[in-house]
Amino acid sequence: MPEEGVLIHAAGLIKRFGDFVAVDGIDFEVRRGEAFGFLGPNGAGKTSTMRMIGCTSAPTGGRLSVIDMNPVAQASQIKSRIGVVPQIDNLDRELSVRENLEMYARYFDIARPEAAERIDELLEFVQLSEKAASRVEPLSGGMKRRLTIARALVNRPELLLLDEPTTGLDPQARHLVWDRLYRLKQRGVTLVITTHYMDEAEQLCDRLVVMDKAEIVAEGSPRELIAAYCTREVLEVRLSDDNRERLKGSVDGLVERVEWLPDRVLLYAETGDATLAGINDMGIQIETALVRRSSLEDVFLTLTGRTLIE
Amino acid sequence: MTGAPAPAYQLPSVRRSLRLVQRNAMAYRHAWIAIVSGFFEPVFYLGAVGFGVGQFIDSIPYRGAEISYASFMAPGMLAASVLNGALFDGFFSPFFKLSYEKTYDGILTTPVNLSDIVVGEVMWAVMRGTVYAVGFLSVMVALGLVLSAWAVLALPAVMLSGAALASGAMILTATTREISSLEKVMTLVVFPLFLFSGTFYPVSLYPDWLRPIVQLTPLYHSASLLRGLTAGVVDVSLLWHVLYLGSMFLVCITVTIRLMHRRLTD
Amino acid sequence: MNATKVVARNAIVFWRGWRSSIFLSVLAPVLFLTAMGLGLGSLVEPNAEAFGDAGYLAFFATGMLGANCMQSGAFSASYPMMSKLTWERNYEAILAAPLGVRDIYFGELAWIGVTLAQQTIPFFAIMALFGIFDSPLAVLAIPAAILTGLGFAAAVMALTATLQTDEAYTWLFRFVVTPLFLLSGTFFPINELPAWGVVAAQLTPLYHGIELIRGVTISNLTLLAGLAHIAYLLFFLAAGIMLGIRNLTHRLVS
Repeated sequence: MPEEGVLIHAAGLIKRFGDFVAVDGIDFEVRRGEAFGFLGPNGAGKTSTMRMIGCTSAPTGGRLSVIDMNPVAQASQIKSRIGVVPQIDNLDRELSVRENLEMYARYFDIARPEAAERIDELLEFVQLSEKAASRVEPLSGGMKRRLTIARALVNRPELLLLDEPTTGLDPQARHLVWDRLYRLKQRGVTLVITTHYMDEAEQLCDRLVVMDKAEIVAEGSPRELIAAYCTREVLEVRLSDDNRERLKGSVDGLVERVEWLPDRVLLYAETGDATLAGINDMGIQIETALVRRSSLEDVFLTLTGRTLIE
Repeated sequence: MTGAPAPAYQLPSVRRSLRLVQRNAMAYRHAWIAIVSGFFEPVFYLGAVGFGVGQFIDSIPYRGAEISYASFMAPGMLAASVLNGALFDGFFSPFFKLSYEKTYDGILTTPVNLSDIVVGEVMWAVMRGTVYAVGFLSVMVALGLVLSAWAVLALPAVMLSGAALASGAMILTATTREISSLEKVMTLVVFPLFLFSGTFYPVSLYPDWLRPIVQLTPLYHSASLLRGLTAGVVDVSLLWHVLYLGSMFLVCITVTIRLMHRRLTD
Repeated sequence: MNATKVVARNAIVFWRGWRSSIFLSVLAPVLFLTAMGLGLGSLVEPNAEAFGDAGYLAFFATGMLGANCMQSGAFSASYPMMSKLTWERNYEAILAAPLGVRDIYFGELAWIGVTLAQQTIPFFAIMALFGIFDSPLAVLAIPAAILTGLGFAAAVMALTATLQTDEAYTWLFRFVVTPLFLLSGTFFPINELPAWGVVAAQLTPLYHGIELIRGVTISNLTLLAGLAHIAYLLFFLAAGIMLGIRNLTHRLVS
């Protein structure tokens, strides 16, 4: 039995499409009030998992409970207590911004006066009050995403599912969305986010799982994962081919790990500057050097040998 | 808590299905001209063909009575306009919402389920068709083409026809994948229905081998039912039309719900 | 002339679905002809003199020949053209190549002419099979019908060039095209209309197109009357072309 305060519980969860296995027996738990992330590249199985939690796709095997209910038998009850922000917008293009929210309130059977109040609040929250009468088509990508978020909040959900919430948005729009999500979290809404952006995962998530090829390969808070799989800092260098060869010969012992990428070399060490000094001492010429903190991108690279964004 | 197999389909509810009607009404507030203009087409045809050509036609023998051509043709036009509306509201519009605009995907994350959507769209088609019918029947009364008080039953007959034809159209929605099929369906199925179902002339003109085939098609039954009621030639045989249309509605809506579930389930 | 390139491009797009497209666009009027010409025709039988010596079927079929071109020409210049102009912005791409607005315009109009011919000729052939024609002069009905259709195509193209959304088409087809179709003499002779209706009909292009078609096929037309109808249709076409080029230039180049 899932314990108190656990909103989503999955054990051995499987999703198959014919012969193709999209989700291959994963276990995870989402606790009330936290921001939980699924980090992984496209095709990892994140969206399939989200669709199962959101009751729009039935699990092929394993166990899944959402707010203590069965997503197959009790889909309707679950849907009235969660909100879903899908990857591809499915806003109603024949209605205005406000009408989209009004109809959603009706689908949830929310009484009209209460709905009107909530809608004004929500438009304010996502900063679309001025666009209330506009049709959906002319809105920018960021505005459409914010409208989708507002729509997902109409029924005051305790759990909000967001599938790649800032993909395709410009940096300003992304930061606005992150800010709104952060405020939601402060209000106690549990967030489940899928993303392939490491900065998004680091910014928003309290805990996350790293998914790759239908499986979970790691779990923990961003800081725990970085500490477990990476050094504190990374030195990124670009150098000519000869110098690269020379570096290959002399790097052991200098750093904990090296990743030889096609265009640069990543040197993982406790402090990047010291490593840089060490390389200079060896007389190896470097074209550019960058010292930065380790990120979840590095964690993913360590675990799978590939980058998050192909 | 186990991953039990999904049910074949969920049950619709009247309250949730009405949400689709509300949604459509809200959407049409922006495009009201499309609704209003739909009233005129059958009226134009009634004028041009019913009266324009009708004055060259002496009278039509109709089941024992002799009625004017316009009186014969008008209920055919009414039935045709119901079919028109059923096609638009049951096929074109839902097809676009389903395949291109993904409107239904958005609705399905709420407690409104797929069966509600199907029933709701049919309800909308019936309501819109009935509104047109009220207008058209008023025109018929004004022009003296309604020959009996039985015509009050024409309104429920229109609703029944609308339900049957719209559910039939929704099967097309559930099964059509390519937009290019649209033209084929219109020209090879719908257009012949319009022309040859006893709308413009009685099926008694047909050779004996053709008549039974036409009598299997839905528009024939709708037109015949409406004609019987407006012309005042009412007998038990009209019940066969009611039975046909009622069965068509029940069968088609069940099939549509099944097919839609199969199409949208992964 | 560069317009041929525009025609060529359309031909390539069309070629992919040509068989079913031609078949369907001929089938529809033929079905209509059968239902109305034969069905209504037999009801009208006792009073058929009003429709001329050739009977109702011939009367209706000749009207249909012209009316079909009108509807087809008007339609081709509406949604498909708006699609290219507004939604898919094909012309912006074509203008980047060394083609001018006139080339685009005449290319599109010529293409519509080709599609009209593709529908009209088979329809004419079917009418001939029904034994409607008794003179080789009847072949002139084909260019007459195409001329009519082109006139409407040009008029609608001039409209399309000014539109951003397709809402206006609802008005166009419901309140202009359909009444013209019904009341220009296709179904019944216009002298059955009230006096003002007769005058109004005679001012509209489809009436002239149908009179011309009937003139060369089933009724007796004086040379003078024939030339008058042709002049009217040419004037209609020319006006549409001038307006269309002006609007299209304004749309694409400013």
